[in-house]
Order: sequence, then C-alpha cells, then structure tokens
Amino acid sequence: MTLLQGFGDQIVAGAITTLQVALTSLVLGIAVGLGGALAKVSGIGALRWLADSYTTIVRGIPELLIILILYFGGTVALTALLGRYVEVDAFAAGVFALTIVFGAYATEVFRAAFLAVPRSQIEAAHALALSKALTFRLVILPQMWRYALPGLGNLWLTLLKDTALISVVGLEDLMRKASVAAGATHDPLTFYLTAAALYLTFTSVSLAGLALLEQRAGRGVRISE
Amino acid sequence: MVKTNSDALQSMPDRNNTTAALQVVNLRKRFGQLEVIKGLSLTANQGDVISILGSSGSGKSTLLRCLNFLEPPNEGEIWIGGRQIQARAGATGQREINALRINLGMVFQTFNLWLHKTVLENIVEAPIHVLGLNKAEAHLRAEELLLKVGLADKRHAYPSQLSGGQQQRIAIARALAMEPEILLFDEPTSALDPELVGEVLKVIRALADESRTMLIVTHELNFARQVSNRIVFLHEGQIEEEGPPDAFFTNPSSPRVRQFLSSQRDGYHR
Repeated sequence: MTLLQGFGDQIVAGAITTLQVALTSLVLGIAVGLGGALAKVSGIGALRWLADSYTTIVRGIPELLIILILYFGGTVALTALLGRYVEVDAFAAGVFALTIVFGAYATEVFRAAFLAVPRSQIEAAHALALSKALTFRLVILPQMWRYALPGLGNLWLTLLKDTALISVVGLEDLMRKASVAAGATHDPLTFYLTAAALYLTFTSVSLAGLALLEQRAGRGVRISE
Repeated sequence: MVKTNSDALQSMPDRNNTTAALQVVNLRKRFGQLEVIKGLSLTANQGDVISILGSSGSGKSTLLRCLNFLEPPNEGEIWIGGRQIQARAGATGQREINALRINLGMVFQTFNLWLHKTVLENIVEAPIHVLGLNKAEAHLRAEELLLKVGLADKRHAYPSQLSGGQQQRIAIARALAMEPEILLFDEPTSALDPELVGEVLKVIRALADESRTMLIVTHELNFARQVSNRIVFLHEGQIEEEGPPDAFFTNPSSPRVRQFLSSQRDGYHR
C-alpha cells in the first residue's frame, strides 16, 4: 500500500510550498516591520502618518479579505498596466499578502521594542561620538531584538497557519493539497489530520528554535551561571 | 554655524590663554520656559580637576550634558583646545557635535554600559567605529585600560555580572579608550553602595594624578576637596562661587555656599 493512498508526494510538495511562502514572508515582513517601526518613531510627520495608516488599515481587515483584495486587485492593476490579461502568480500573491499582514503587526512589535531600549544605552553611544546609524546597528537593534523576539514568535506562528488562507487563490500549499486529496479519496479525515500533524510539527519545531533564539538574545541580561 | 578660523580667533575669549583645554562662554539652556543654565562661563586649563558642586536642580548635570550636546544648549560657545563650537540649538551640525564628543569622555551616574556586550566589546566599539582603529589595536588599548582599572580578569564578563563599582570602572575605561582631551564625570558614585564608592574614587584620583583635565559633578565633598584644584559651586544655573578647595571649604564668601556646606556636614552626622 502506497503512502497516503498515493498522495504522499503531493502532501510533501504542499508542505514545502507552505514553508517557502511562510519563510519568504517572514524575512520580507521583518524588513517591512522594521521600516514601519522606524517611520513611526522617526518624528517625521508624513512618514508617521503613512505608517499609522498602514497598520490601522491592515490590522483592521480580516487576513482572508486582504489576500483576496490583493490577489484580484493585483490582477486588475497588472492587466491595466500591461494592457493585456495577466493572472497573478499565486505564490507571489501569497507572499505579498502575508508580508503586508505580517509587516503591519511586526511594525507594532518593533515599535514597542524600540521604545523599550533604555534611553541611557543610547546616550552612552552618543557620548562616545557614535553616529546615529552606528548607534542603531550596534546598540539599538541588538537590544530591540531581545524585546521583539517573543512578539515576533507569536506572529510567526500566525503567519505559518495563515498560509492556509492562500489556498483560496489557488496556491498549491499543504492545505490545498490535503483538500484535493480529501476530495479525491473520499477520506477527508485522514488527509486533514495529516495536514494538522504537519502544521503542528512545524510550529513545535519553531517554538523550540524560538526558545534558543531568546536565550541567545538574552545573553548578558540574565546572569548565566 | 561654525565660524571660519580667522573669525574664530578674533572672537576667542582669551587669546593669551593657550593652556585652556576647555572654555565655555555664556552658555544657556532652557527646558521650555525654564532656564536651567543662565549664561554660564567657565575655563578649564590643561590638567585642571574641577569639581562642580551645588544643590540638586542647580544645573550641574545639565551643564555637563550641554557640553557634549546630550542636551543641545540654546546659546553660547564651547571651545576645546582652540576649536570652537557655536552652541545654538539647531545650528550645530552632527559632524561638529561628534568632533566635540570625541574630545569629551563622559562617565554617567548609572554607568550605561551596553548590557548586550561584554566588557571588552563595550570598550572597543567606539575606538574601532569612530576612531578607525583596527581590532588588534583596539583590543590592545582595551587590555591596557582594563589593567589600569584593575579588571583585566573581567574582560569577557557581561555588565550584569559585575558590581556597580566594577561597572563604573569599566565605564571609565570605555571613556578613556577614546583618548579624550577632557573627562566629564556626572555624579560617578551616586548610584553606588557606600562600600563600592572607594574603588571608583581611587581610579578617578589616579587619573587626576596623571594631570588629566577633568570636570567632576559630585556630592562627595571630601573627595572633591582632596582631588580638585578648583571648586565651582552652581546655584540656579550660574556660578555662585569658585576657587581653590581650601578657601572654598574653610572660608566661602557666599552665604549660600556656607549654608550648603553646613547642611552637608549635618547630613554626615545624622
């Protein structure tokens, strides 16, 4: 008997796609979040207004709607732009949508982390004539990271599971593969339980990895024996 | 705006004073409506150790923080070794400010060592990134300074693993690593347990013996008397009295200084 009634390969391929979408969105989303947080604390009115609008809008709309709007909106926009019908690639659309969503929440996580860095740590850098950019890189960012990690960990778990929403625009991810196999074999429970087990594996491994990262980021703060 | 050299020479307050390491002219700092430093002028010659005393709120700490622009002053001039910084809020460029900061080593009341970096990393970062030293040079300099403050065995420790006194000695080493012209101490022992004050004062005393130019804001009157060659007493953002320590402590002319000194003595006898 072949694994999962012959759908084993399909499920594995879907799981890989899910991880690819999630990891790509994570990296891009962290960059967006850092940018958004810096815009919010920059003291430049226009930038702050832009970042405030972004987080207010994105955090106020269901993820599924954002994905649908960006997917169909992207198709319309590209079609208008290029003058012929273009169908947006589901992977690109998924990464784009999840980056936008993750970035909005990460903006708030990073903003809180930025504000949590003690003023005195920054003053010490200024007093030693370190430029603003160096102060950010050497002092603020590593300390922000420590404050941001628990919040980012939460967002990562949400992101990993939100990839399932991308299946509505046709991404061949774990969720969609499981659903197709469930329909084809009339054995939904097996495939949905398999998918659930895989998501749970990914999140559990993530949690272990996060614990390690937090330990590393907290060096010097908790006295190690 | 920083003036050109010829302009600067003409407006230098005392052209004959070639030994002046630091000259502050008519410095003013306001927080909103409240003026904290009210047109203060001060000269520190090469090798001067000046203790700055005064009640809380007299502007002592603000004065030090204005000198290196942690608080940008509203008006005035700051001269370091003949180089002028026109201290007007918004008019001083970041490049000017950093040139100033390189020459002013600051030691904070709360040490402010970077918590995520080891002792050695705390000391070498600024020499590497600001002065352009290579890693080997910076580490050599750091090791020498750690020997000097007696903490060579703590090079790989994190600040949280050290006592307050040890952290402050590392903070002094960090400031010295930039080889500044002048050291600024902002109440360097006020955050320490009484039994840890001595080790920090010992390090500062050793620096005074090397005839480094230092400005020390402190509440340690005995220490100020022993280590300084000049006392400056601030009251409401102005210099109320200044002079050599013996005259200041035994025969102050200002009634405010007399009141301050007697209240401090009462404090000791409590």
